Order: sequence, then C-alpha cells, then structure tokens
Amino acid sequence: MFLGEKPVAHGMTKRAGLTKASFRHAALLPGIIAMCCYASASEGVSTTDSLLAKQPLKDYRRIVAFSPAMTEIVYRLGAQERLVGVALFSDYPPEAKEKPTVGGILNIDSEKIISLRPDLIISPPGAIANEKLPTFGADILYLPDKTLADIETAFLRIGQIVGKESEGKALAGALKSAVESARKRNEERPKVKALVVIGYEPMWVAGGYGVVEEMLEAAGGENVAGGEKKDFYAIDFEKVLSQRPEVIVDLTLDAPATDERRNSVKAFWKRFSSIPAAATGRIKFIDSDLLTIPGPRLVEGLAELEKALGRQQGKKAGGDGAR
Amino acid sequence: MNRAIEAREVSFSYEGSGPDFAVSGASLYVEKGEFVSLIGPNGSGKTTLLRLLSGVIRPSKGRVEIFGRDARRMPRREIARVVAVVPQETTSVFPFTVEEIVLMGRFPHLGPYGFESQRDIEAAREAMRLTDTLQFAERHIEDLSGGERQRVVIARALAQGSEILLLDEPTVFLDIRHELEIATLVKDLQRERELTVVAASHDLNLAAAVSDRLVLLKEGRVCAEGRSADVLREDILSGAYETKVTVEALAGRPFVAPDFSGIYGKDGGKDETDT
Amino acid sequence: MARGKRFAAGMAALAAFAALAAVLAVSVGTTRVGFGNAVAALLGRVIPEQDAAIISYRMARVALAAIVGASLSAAGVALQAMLRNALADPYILGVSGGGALGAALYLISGGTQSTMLTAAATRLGFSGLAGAAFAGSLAASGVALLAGRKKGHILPGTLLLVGVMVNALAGAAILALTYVTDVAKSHSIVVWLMGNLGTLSLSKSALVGAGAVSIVLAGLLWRLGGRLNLMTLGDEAAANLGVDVGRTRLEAFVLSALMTGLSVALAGPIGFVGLVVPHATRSIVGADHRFLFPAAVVAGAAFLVLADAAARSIRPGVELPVGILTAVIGAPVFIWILRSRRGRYFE
Repeated sequence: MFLGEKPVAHGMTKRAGLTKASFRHAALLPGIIAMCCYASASEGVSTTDSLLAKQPLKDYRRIVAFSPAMTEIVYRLGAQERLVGVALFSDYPPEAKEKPTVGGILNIDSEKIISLRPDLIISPPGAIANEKLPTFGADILYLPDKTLADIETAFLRIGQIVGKESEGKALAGALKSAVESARKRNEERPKVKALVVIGYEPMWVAGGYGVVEEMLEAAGGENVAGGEKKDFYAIDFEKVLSQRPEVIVDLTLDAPATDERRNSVKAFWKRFSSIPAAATGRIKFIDSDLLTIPGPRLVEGLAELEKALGRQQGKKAGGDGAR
Repeated sequence: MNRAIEAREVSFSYEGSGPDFAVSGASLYVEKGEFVSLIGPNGSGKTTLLRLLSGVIRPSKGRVEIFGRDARRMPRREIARVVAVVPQETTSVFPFTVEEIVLMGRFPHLGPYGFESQRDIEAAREAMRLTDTLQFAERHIEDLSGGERQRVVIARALAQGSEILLLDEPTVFLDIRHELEIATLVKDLQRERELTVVAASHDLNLAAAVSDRLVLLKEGRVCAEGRSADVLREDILSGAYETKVTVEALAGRPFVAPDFSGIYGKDGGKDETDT
Repeated sequence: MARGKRFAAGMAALAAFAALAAVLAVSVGTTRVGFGNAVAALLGRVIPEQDAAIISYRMARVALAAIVGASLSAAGVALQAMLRNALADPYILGVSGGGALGAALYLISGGTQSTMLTAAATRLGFSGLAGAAFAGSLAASGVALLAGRKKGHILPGTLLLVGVMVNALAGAAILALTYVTDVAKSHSIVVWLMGNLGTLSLSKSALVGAGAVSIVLAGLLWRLGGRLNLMTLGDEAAANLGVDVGRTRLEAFVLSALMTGLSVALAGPIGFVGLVVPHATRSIVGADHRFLFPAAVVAGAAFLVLADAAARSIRPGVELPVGILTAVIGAPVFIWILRSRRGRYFE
C-alpha cells in the first residue's frame, strides 16, 4: 500500500505563510525561475524602522499585504478597508478572496501592484523582496515571521501602522499568554515524543527551529526531528524509525479532510509497526493553516496541538483525542 | 556460366539529388576468381555501384545477383557470409583491440548466443597472420597507422571467410609504399584463396596492374569494360575524364599519365630532367 | 583466452565490490548497525528485534538503489553504442524530461485518486506519482522515436537532437508550471527533480517486480551485445557484416527507454550514473558489449548503493538528494578516465 493521495502537494503545505522557508527553497531553484534584474531601491522609500519612528505615524490607506498571514492579521485587527491588495492564496477570512491579488513572492504581479498605487507594502523580508518591492515607490514594512517572538512583534507593528494599536497589543498578548499558559500546564508532565509531518515522498517535517517547534514544545511535545535546526526539512525515514515517536501530527491534508484520505495516511503508517504512534494509531490530523500561517490562528493551532498530544486543557495526559 | 556477382541494368539515385541518378542502367558481371576494378572520374558512381553489389542499398531498377540469387531476397547475414566489404577508412569510437575488431568479422557465422568458438578465434588469427597484423592483436586500432589499419580491416574481411571481396578505394589515403603493400596483399590473397575481388579504384595504373578486367564508369553508366589494354586508351580515357591523358607502354603494359604540358609550358619549357 | 580471463577477473572484483557496498550501505545510517548484523540480514538470517525495522528499511533502499543503478548503467551502455557517442547518457532521448513533466503535472493536480492511471499504478503497488512519471517518459520516448525516424529508419543524429529538444521543451514546460503554481507545489516539483531513493510508497512486491523486470530487460540488452559491438563500426560496416541495423537500433532504443523510464518513475532523475559507469567499466573489462553489459550492471548497482550510503552519512537524519553525490563522485572520475590512456575517445 502506498500513501494515500493528498490534495496538498508532496513537500510543503500550500500556504505561502512559509515564506521564509520558501526563500530558502527558492534559493534551491537556481536558474529555474528566471529573474530579471530590477532597478535597485528607489529614492525616498522608507522601511520599517524609519517608518515607525515617524511622529506622527503616516496614515496609510492603500496597503498591500504580501503574505496570506499578513492579510489575516490586517483583517483580524479590523483594518481591512485600508487593504487594496493581498497576496495569492489569501483565503482567510473568506472576504479576503474579494480583494485584488498581487501574486506571490516567486511571481510578483508588478503591473497589478503598480495599478493599485499602494502607499504601504507589508511583507516578510528576503532577498527577492528586498530587490523588487522597493521599485513600487511605496513604503515597506518588513516583518520577519519565523519565530513566535517575530509574530508577536508583527501583531504589534501592524497594529501600530494601521491605527489599531490596542487591538495589535491584544493579539500579541493573546498569543503570548496562550503559549505561556500551555507551557506552565505541561511543565511537570513527561514530554510526548512527536513528529510533525508536512509532506511525504520525501518526508518533510518540522525541524528544531521556528514556530511549529516552539508551539510543540509549549504543548508538551518533544520534536523527534528537532536535531536539525531548520524550520522544515526532508528527514531520513530511518531517523523516524529509530526515534519512535508516540504521536504523528499530519498537516498534509486540506481541511475538511475526508475519512478516506485519513485512512490512507493511517494505513501508510501502519506498515511501520515498530513506531509506537503507528502501533497505537495515534495519527492526528491538523489543518496546516493553523500551524504554518504565522498569524492570529496560531492560538487555535496551539490548542489543536495540545489535543493531538493528548493534553486537553485542564485534562490529564494520556487522553486519546481521537480525531 | 560461373558468375559470382552480377549487376543487371541497375539504377539508383540518392534522396535529395533530384532527377540525377548516381547509377543509371549499369550492368556488369564478375566471374568467380576474377579481379575486376571499377574506375572512373569522381561522381561516376563507383562507390554507389559497389554498395549496390554489397546489397546494402537496393537498386530502384534492375537487380543484383550473388551466385545467381537476387540480393534483395537474401537476409543480411547470408550476404555477409559470401560478401565482405573493405571500406575506405575505419575509425572506432570505443577502445576495441585489433583482435576484437577482426573477430567481429566472424559475426555472420556465430551461433545464437553470439560467442565465438575456437574455430572462430583460429579463423581470426589466421586472417591476422596473413595480413601481418598478429603483432597488433592486443593494441587499439586507433594507435595504428593508416596502412596498418587498412591491413586490420582486410584481416576482418578475410576472417569473414567470404568468397567475394569488395573494396572501396582501399588505398586512397595511403602513401606509395602502403598503397603497394595493400595492393600486393590483396592480389596475393586473391590468388591463394581464389577470391573474387571487385575494387573501386582511383589509381588507374595500380588498377591495371592488379586486375583481370577494368570497368570504366562515367556519370553512372558503364562506358567501357575489358582488359586494361582495351580500356586504357587515350581516346576512351580522355572522353571519360574530360582531360587530356597520355598512355604509354611500361614493361609491356599500358601506363596512364595525365598531360602536364600545360604546367610545364608556363615555366618557359624548362625541362626538369636536364642536369 | 585472454579476454575471457580478463573479464572473469574484472567481474569477480566488481562482484566483491558490490557485496562490500551492500554490507556497508546496510550498516551505515543514523543508527549504527554492526557489519555482522548487516551481513546476517543480507543473507536472510535472523537479526535482533530492535534493529529489524531499520534494517528492513535500509535493505529496501539498497535494493532500489541497486535496481536503479543497474538499469541506468545498462541503458547508458546501450545508448552510447547505439548512438556511437561516448557522451550519451540514458536521459538524452527525452526520457527524463518526459518523466519530469509527468511528475510535475501530477504534483500540480494534487494527485487525485480517481484517475485511471493512479488507480492502475496503486493496484500494482506503486504510487500515482511513479505512474505519472513513467507515463510521461514513455510518451516522450515515443515522440522522440517518431520524430527521429525517416522512412522507417532511425537516424541516430536526428534522434539525438530530437531528444535534446524534447528535454528542452519539457524543461520549459516545467519552468512555466513552477512559476504559476503555488510555492508548496513548485517546491515539491523541484524536490522531485533531485531524485529520491528513500521512497516509502513502493510496496515490497512492487520492488521485487521492478527488480525482476529490470533483470529481464537487462538480459535482453545483453543479447544485443554482439550486434552493438558491430554497430560501433558504423551503420554500413555493421550491415556489411550481417547486422540488421534498423532493428538492432530500435530494440536498443526501446529497451533503454523502458529501463530508464522505470528508474525515473521509481526514484526520480538521478544523474551521472548512466554516463560515468559505462566508461569506468569499459576501462576495466574492455569495450566488448557482451562483457560490458553484465559488468556495468554490477558496477552501476554498487556505485549507486555506495552513493546513497554516502548521502545518508553526510548529514545523518537528513535526506540529502543522492544526485548531488553521484555528481560529486562521478564528474571527477569521468575527467580522470578521459585523461587516462584508455579514455582517448576524441583525439
């Protein structure tokens, strides 16, 4: 039996929220994507530090969010009327689909952006972003999205820049306290060995760095793939066999996942009965958006992780959150 | 009639050459044990005629018969058992040794699994001995000189054990000494083994020396054939080659010389033999 | 006869090399498994329980590497002879481009279970992805074959150029696909292009079946050995020696395409094996294809098994694409061969 067909591609999840990761992988595409050379940064474009230092802050009304996560953040802060353009695959909340799309980090739709006349672009930083975004003449807010700290900062900064400072602080606070209380809850309990899978053939997993790792730890898990300090990488399956995770968290199925698809994934793992997770059937499915989009839904993702690891809020460890 | 190989009014044109026929209604026959040379200017169809005789191309008109059988009806392997071809030159992309190349001549005789028997190996060695190439057995063919290479190819043709030998201008890239070497070798082999030989040749005098008969081609047609004395005549040759030639007698045989008077004339008639 | 002895010695050395490679490959990885256990496992004897899962995984991997390495090498030998070109490799006729395009289309479509192709593939124990890649390579080879013929005869020069064009066309199509699709899918396409011997979607029976098919195909190629020897002399010389040139060429092409298509389908495109192993083996056992085929098959299997073992050892726990290793080992070896006496193909 082979691994059931997934609607999500082998490899990574479909959200462009993993933009930093995709930069790294874009760096693996030498020559595959033909990149024209654009003129270097135009004069008069301000970037992050200088933007936020201005008193009073400029009132931005034509904002382009260059990753789905940033789109979500703007909506969650209630500032969506200022949004004139969003990145491809920004489909949460559903209303975001109505907004014009400006392409993705690998295929920027320059014409569209120019036609939207943005005054501010919010984007994760990176080589391609640094080269191309300044050419549109708008101010640019670069916000890293790799760690939980990065994301809390992003909530704050975006809140500041769209005039929703208190909402931004609230969002950041909510994430921070969710993580902290989870950590406190699970401090005393034995760690559950877990593997977070985002793709098969080859098997891509969450590594020892980044949001997923941090949340997994807070939820009381021990990442068996944590030896490699990367956010996502291809693991030698042997390592999985030797590390014997107790829980497999599968992020590869698009929600809503059908029973058929879940069963094929379970059947795949069942072939390796020496892995405790496979033998006991503890294969848990979580919507990848909740864990890999560095935005407001991470809080839900954390809760799902805890459930998956059998750590219901307030409940004792060992509960089998059959999903 | 003891005809080893025969072409009956064959015609052939190469693709892309339009209405021009490389060979047009040519007929010739070679009797068993005969040495026939095909001569004629460039483009007269010597090579094409040879290829038709070897069966590797098929005439659009007429037929080629090998020991009385239509060549078209004979499978390649069978033809290879009776006809061996020596090409103008040989190069090898891969490092085969001389012995391996000569052994390839045994292919038409090999069994279903394609490995040589002791008999095959001996035939190859004998062929190398006759062509004085045994000492090159383990060497790579690319390391040999032109003359040595041609001897190896002749050895391969011999190893084939065929009665009929076709040679396509085999000495065209060789110097005088090697030319003579090869010509002598082939003639000796022909006599010893009673081979039937058809050779396309650019060298009229060498052809005359070794052949029993000459066949003169022009523009794809046979315009003269017979013994050297009958074919190597000034009028015939001048017509075919469209240049002035002189035929003299050398040791009782005709000797063809091109007319250099035009070149000498420019020098003010200087005679090189004056001391 | 000297050649026979030389061949026997060469084969013995290669077989020993292959055996060592297998033992080494089974014993290295994230966890060390002793040589003793590795040998025992390879011989089918009992092994300690705790190592069983890992050894079983490694053996499947070694088997796949052996099959792919052997197939690519055999195809490389055949194509170099068939095209009379020492730089030919099995991918040159468009097989890799077609396979990659098939895989890319499959990955972009998200891999639906409902297509007939996928269903057929999975019933046989392969993944839909492998099925799509195989279909793609067959299609590309078919196109190359049809376009490279004239009046029913395959022209090697034309075939070569057509193959290059097919690869280029497929490459352009894949570029376009990676550009317009989302990051995750283009990433998975790129990853597939790097080759993957750690596939888990091959059932045991599929692996055994693939091995059997490869052996049969390799055997059929071997039978062509004598004729391929003659083909290297040139079409006309070969025909004069009694070879049915057109048919031999067609057989060599079809068999190579099948073997290469199978390898690409199972493990993605892995480069250098089909180019370097034939040359290296030629310098050991000589140019006679009747000896070269079996030697190349063994050498190719050993080479890829070792390259995979090395890939697994460099970053333990991380799946490093084996194509990197084959290039890093293969390129210098190739250059070294070219410069040595035996490798003088071009001067």
